Amino acid sequence: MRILALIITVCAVAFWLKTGAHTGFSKNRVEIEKVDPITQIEYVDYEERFIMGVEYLALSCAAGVGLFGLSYFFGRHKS
Amino acid sequence: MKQNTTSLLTIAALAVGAVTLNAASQEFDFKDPKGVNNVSFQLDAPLESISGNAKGVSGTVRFDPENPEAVSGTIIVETGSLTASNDKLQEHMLGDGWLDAAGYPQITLTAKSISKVETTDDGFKAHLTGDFTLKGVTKEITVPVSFTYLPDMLSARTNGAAEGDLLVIRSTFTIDRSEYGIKPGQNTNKVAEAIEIRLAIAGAAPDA
Repeated sequence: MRILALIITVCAVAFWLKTGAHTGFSKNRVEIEKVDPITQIEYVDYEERFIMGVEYLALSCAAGVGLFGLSYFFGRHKS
Repeated sequence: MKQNTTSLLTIAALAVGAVTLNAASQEFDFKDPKGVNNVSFQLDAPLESISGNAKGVSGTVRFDPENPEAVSGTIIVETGSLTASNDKLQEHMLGDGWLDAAGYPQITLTAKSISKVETTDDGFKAHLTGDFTLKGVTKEITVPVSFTYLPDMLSARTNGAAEGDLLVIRSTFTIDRSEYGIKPGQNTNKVAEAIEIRLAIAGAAPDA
């Protein structure tokens, strides 16, 4: 159970880092900034891509800590 | 006979004057099939920063590069074209609790007058006073605005499909959502009262 808690926490942090360590809430589309060559207007196009936010990171870490805590209750009892 | 001739000459002179005046002032259409025209928004609340943009821009502006004080027209933004960075946020933003895009499908800015006109390297900057309408509430606002006039550049933008001029309008200004009846005083920790709006749009005036 403690190993599972560790896996969940490490995976969540790794995925959060991989998707850009975004410190806001999750996004399911990402802004791509562009400039029109004639008018020089800056505009944004969207790319459908998931960016993990801090709410999922916090939930995953809380789940990991919870599992770690529960492992003391459901661990092997010494006879 | 002499009186008739004088009258005819006066009418002819007035007609020529009117045509000359009309030729200098052009109507720029801001409907943009390329999807470049955009209005972006930014809200910075203590707990959440919200940003996005809208590409459903249309409207017409009459502009004379020789007389920028005579500018007139309306810019329209389709409320439903406002896009945020996540679906849930966008759904809430366009829902009837906030912008009510179904009930109020357009956000508009109508120019009424222009002042403090200054010539810049590529056009003019000025203060524009106009009626800003959001969620059915209209307020008179004065905002800084810049005009970049690009003569004969429509051809480059349309790959030679049309000849004519371009007009680029830029403006950044801030409004208070509570003044437009958008949940005044509510959810201020997550949704800031102040909304910064950035307008960057280009209109085309094809040659007749």
